[in-house]
Amino acid sequence: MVDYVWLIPALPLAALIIVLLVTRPLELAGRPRPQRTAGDAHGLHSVPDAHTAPGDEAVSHEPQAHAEEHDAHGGAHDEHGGATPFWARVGSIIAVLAMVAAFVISVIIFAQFFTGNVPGIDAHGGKTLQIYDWVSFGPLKYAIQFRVDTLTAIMLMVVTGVSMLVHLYSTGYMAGDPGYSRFFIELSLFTVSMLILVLGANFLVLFIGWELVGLSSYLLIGFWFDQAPPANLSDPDTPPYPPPAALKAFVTTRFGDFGFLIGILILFFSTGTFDFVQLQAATPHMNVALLTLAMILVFAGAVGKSAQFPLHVWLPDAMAGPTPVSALIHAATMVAAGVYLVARLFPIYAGVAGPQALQVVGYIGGFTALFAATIALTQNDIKKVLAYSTISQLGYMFVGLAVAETNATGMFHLVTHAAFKALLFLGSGCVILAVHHIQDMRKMGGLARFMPITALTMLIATLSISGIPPFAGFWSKDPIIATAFEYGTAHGGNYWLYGMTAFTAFLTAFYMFRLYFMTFGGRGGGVAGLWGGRYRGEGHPQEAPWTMWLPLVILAVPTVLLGFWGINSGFAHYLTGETIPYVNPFTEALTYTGIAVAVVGIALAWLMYGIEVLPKTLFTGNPIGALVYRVLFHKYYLDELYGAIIKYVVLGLAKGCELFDIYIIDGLVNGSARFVRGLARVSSRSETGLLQNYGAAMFGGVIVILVIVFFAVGALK
Amino acid sequence: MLTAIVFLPLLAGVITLLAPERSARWIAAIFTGAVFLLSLWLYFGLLGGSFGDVAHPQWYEHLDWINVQVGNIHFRADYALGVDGLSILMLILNSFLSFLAVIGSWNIQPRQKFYMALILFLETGVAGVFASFDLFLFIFFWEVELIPMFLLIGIWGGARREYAAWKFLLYTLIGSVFTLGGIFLIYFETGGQTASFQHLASAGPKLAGTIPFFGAALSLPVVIFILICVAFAVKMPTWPVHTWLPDAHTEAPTAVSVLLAGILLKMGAYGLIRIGFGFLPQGLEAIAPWVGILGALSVLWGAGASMVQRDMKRMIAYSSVSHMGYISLGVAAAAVATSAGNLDFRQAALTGASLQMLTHGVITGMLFFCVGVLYDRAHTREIDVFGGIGKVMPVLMLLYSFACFTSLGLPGGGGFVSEYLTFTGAYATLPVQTILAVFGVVLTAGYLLWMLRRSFYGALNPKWSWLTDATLRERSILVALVVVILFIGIYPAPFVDLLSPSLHHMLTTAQSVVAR
Repeated sequence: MVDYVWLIPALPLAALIIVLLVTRPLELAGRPRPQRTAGDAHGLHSVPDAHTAPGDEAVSHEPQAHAEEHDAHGGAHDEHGGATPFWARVGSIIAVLAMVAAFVISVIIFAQFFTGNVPGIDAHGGKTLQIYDWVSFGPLKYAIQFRVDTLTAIMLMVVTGVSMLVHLYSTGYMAGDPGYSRFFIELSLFTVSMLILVLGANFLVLFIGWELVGLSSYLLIGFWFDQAPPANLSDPDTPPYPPPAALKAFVTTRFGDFGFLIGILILFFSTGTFDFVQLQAATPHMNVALLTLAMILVFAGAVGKSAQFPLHVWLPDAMAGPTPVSALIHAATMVAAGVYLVARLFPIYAGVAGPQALQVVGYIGGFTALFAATIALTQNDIKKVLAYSTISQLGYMFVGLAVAETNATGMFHLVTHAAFKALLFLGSGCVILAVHHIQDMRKMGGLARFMPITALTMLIATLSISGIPPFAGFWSKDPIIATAFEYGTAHGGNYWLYGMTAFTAFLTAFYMFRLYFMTFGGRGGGVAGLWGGRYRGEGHPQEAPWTMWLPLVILAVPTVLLGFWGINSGFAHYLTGETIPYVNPFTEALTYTGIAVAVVGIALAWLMYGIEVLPKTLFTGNPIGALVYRVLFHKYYLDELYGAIIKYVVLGLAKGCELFDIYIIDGLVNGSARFVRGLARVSSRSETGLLQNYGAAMFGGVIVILVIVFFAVGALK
Repeated sequence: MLTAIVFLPLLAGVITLLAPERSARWIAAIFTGAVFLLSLWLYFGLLGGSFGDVAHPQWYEHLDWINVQVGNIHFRADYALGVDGLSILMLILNSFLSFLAVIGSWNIQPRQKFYMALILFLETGVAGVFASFDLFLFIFFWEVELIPMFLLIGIWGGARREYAAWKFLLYTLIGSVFTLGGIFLIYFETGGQTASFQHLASAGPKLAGTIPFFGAALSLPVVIFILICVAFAVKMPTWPVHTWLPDAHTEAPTAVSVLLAGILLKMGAYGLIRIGFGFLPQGLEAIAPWVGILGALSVLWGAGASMVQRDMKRMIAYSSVSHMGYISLGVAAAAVATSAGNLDFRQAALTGASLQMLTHGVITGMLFFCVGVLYDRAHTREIDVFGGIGKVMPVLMLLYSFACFTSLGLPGGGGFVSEYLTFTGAYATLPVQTILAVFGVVLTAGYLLWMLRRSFYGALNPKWSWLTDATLRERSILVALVVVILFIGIYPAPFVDLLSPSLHHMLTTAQSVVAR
C-alpha cells in the first residue's frame, strides 16, 4: 500500500480539479442571470466585446448578485439565508468523499507501519518513492520524491483525518455562503499542499508544500475578501479584518522562510543533496559551527510557520478566516508544520549539530509558550484566546523536541493537540453560528443548556488541554514538563524551561476554563456553574446541525483515548522503533505538582467565572495590575512596534531608493538628455517631430561610435 | 527556416501597411501565429537529436554580407543565422509574446494599421538578435529593434510618452556606443578576420594581456567585457542604469509593455550570457563578485522602489529590475570558477538564470496584461484609487493573483524553478550576494500582495461598481500564459534539457580557461 501513497494527495487534487472545472461552472451556469444595472450607464467604458459567452456573464456578475451577503459584521451574513446551489453541494460531497478515501488509505498505511509489516522498507525505516525528476546536474539532484516512514504515516493520519472532518463540518458551516464552492476548492488545495509537505523526501518537495500551504492559508484567511473594514480596527476586541490579515500572514511567514531558504542553501552547498536521509549521512562531515548555524536558520522557517515569537503576530489575525479554516490550518496541521520540520530533521539537530541549535529551539519554544499564554488570559474574542493558546501549545512542542532524547515527546503533543485543538475550534465555530456571528465571550454564557453536545465535547477538550488525566493532553504535556525538569537537572540546575512550561500549564488551565465558563457556564448554572447559566447575548441559540456536531463527537474520541498510546512509551516506540525506558508518571512527585498547578488554575477560573464569587477585577483592581492587564490586552504592543518599523524604516528606505532614482540618477540623465537634444536641434533645425529627432539622435550616435572605434583601433596600433 | 522566422514578420508588416485598415489586425494575428508555430518547429524538429551549442549551431544559414579591406584593416560581417538551446527558447518566447501582444492590442486606437506593422517590425528585430550568429549582424538587429519600440512608445504612449521614448532611446543608444566599441575591440583582437560566434566563442576566452588607459594597464578581457556589456546592462536593466524602464513601462501601451518586459529586457540578459559570459568568461570572472553585487543590489533596490509606487505599471516595471537582478547574480556566480568540483553548482546557477529569462518573460507579461485589462476600463492604474474591485472582477482577481504569486516565486509557477535553481547554484560561489538577493523574495511578497490588498480586497469602492470582468479574449490570453507558467513550474525538465547543451558548453569553455 505504501507504493500507492501518491493517491493520498492525488485524491483531494482530483476533487479540486473536478470542483474547479466541472461542478463550479455548472453551478454558475445554473445561476439566474441578474439584471444589468449600473454597467449599462457606463457602456462607454466597456470594451466592445464585453458581452460574449453566457458563462462569461454569469461569472462577471456573481458577486453583485450576492452583494453584502457575507458581511459578517454588518449582520447580513446569514448562514441559513441563501440555499446552497445543487452543483455546489455536489462539489462539496465529492470533496468530502475524496477525503474519506484519502483517510482510509492513510489508515491502512499507518496500520502497516504500526504492525511493522511494511514490504520493501529501507535501513532507515522508510521507503522513498520517485515521482519524477525536476532536473539534475551531475550529482546534484532536484527530484520530486515522496518518503513514507513512521513519522510521515502519523502525519498523514492527522492531516487527512482532521481535514476529512473539517470538510464534513464545512458543508454545514459554509452552507449558503456565495463562495461555497470556492471554499472547498481552497480547502482541497490546502490539503494537497499539506500532504506534499509531509510526504516530501527532500527539502525541495518539503519547501514546495511549505510555500503552497502558505498560499492556501493566505487565500482562506482572506476568504471573505470583500468585507468592509470594521470601525475600530486597532481595538483588540474587534475581530480581525481579512484583507490585511491575509497579507500579514503570508509576508510574516515569508520572513521566516528567508532564513529557512538560506539554511537549505548552506546545507545543499555543503552536502550536495536535499534528501533527508542522505543529509543525515553527509552532515557529520560538515563544519559543526556552520551546520549549527544552518539548522538555526532552518528553524527560522519553523518560527514563521508555527507562529513562534517574534513572528507569531500573524496567527491571531489569521482568525479572520472562516472557523473551519482556523481549526484545520491554524490549529491542527499547517502551524504544526514547523514542529514536523524539526522532528523530521531531529537526528541532525540532536545528533550532529552543536547543542546551540536545540537550545535555540527550546528557549524560543518555552518563551513563546509562556508569552502567548499571558496574552490569552486577557482576550475576550473566543477565537483569539484559542489562537494564543495554539501559539503557546506549539511552544510546548518545540520544548519537547529540544529537551528529549527522541522526537517522540514533541510529536506526541502535536498529535494530541491536533485532535483537541481542532475540536475546540470547531466547537467555537458552532458557538459563533449559534449566537449569530458574535465572537465576544462577554456576550455569551450559559450556552451548555442550548447546545449540550458542543458543550460536552468542548469540556472534554478543555480538560485535555489543561493537562488533567486521563485525557490525551495530560499524557502528552506531562512528559514535556517532566523532561524539561530532567533537562534542568542534567544541565547544572538550569530549570528555566521547566519553570516556564510548568507556569504556563497553570495559565493554560486558567484561561481555558475562563473560556469555557464564559461561553457555556456561569453563575446559576448546573453542576456549580459548569452547565448553563445566564446567557448574555441576543436571540435563542440552537445546537448545530449534525454535519457540524458529528465531527466534534468523532474528535472527542481521540481527545479522550489517544493519551493511552503514550503509556508505556507506546508512541515513542512506534515512532522511533526503540524501546524507551518508561517511568509511570503517577509514581513521580513532579506529576502531582503538574496536576495540582492545573487544578489551581481551573479552581481560580471557576471562582471568577464559574460561580463568580471572586470579582473579575481581582487582579486588575490595583494600578500595577491594571497596567499589566493593559500591556497584555494590547499583546505587548508588538503589532504597533512592527507597524512602525515597516512604516518608517522599510518604507522609508524604499522611498529613499525611489528618490535616489528620481533626483540623482535621472537628474544626471535629464541633464545629458537636454544636452543631446540641444545638439539635435542644432544639427537638423527641424520641427520636433519624433522621426526627425530620432534621425538626429542616430546621426549623433553614429558619430560618437565612429569616434570610439577610431580610438579603439588607434589604441591597438 | 531561421530566415523565415526573422523576416516573415517584416514581410507581414509591409503587407499590413499596404492592406486596408480593418484587415490589419487579422494579418498581424495570422502571421505572428504562423511564426509562433514555425518557432515551435525549431524545437520539435530537433527533439531527439541535439539542440546544439555555440560551436555547433543548428538550423545554420550563412551568406557573405560585408567584406571590405581598407588599408590593412579588414572588415567582414556575415549574414549568419543559427540557434542553440538558449536562442531557441528566446525565439519561441518572442514569437509567443508577439502573438499574444497582437491579440492583446485588438482594439488599439488610433492608427491601428501602423501600430500592428510596428509590432511586426519589432518582432523581426528581436528575432534577429536571438538568431544572429555573427556579432556585427547581432548589433545590427539590436539597433534596428530600437526604431519600432521608440515609435510605439512615442506615439501610443501615455501623457509623458515623448519623454519616456527619448529616455529609452538615449539610454539604449549611449549603451550601444560602448558596446560597439567593445565589439570592434574583440573583433580586431581575435584576428580581425571574422566576427562569427563560433570563432569568438573559441578565440575570445583565449584573450589575455592588457590595454593602456591613461597610463594604467587594464586587463584587456575585462575592458572588452565591460564595454560590450554596457548596452546589456542598460537593457536588462541593472542598477544604476535602470531608470529608463519605469518611465518607458508607465507610458507604453499594454502590449508594448508586455513585449518590452517580456522580450526586450531578455535581449540584455541574452547578450550577457551569450557574449559576455560565452566569449569573455575570463573577463567576467575577474569582476564576478562586483557583477553579483550589482545583481543583488538591483534585486533589493528594485523591490524597495516597487514598494512605494502608486502606479501599478510602474510598480511592475521596478519589479522587473528586481527580477532581472537574479539573472545577473546567476550569471556572475556561474563565472566564478574557484575549483573544478563546483561546476555542477555553477551550471545550476546559469540554468536558473537562463530559465529566469523565460519565466520572467511570461510572468511579467501576464502581470502587464492584467493591468491592461484594468486600465482599458478604468483608465487609471493608480493602486489606491481602487478598492474591493475583486467583487466585480472575480476572474481578473483570480488571474491577477495567480500572476502575482508566481512572480513572487511560489512553487507550481515557473518563477520558483528559476529562482530556486539560481539560489541553490549561486550560493556555492557568491554566498553573500545570494543571501542578499534571497531577501528579495520577502520584499516581493510584500509589495505584490500589498498591491492586491489595496486594489482588489476590502469593501467595493462604489465608484467602480460598473467595472466589468475580463472578456473572453482577455481571458484566453491570460489562461494561455497560466498554462505555460504552470507547465514550467511543475515539469521544468524539457526546458532545462533544451538549455543544458549550450550552457554546458559555455561552462566547460570557461572552466578550461581558468584551469589553464
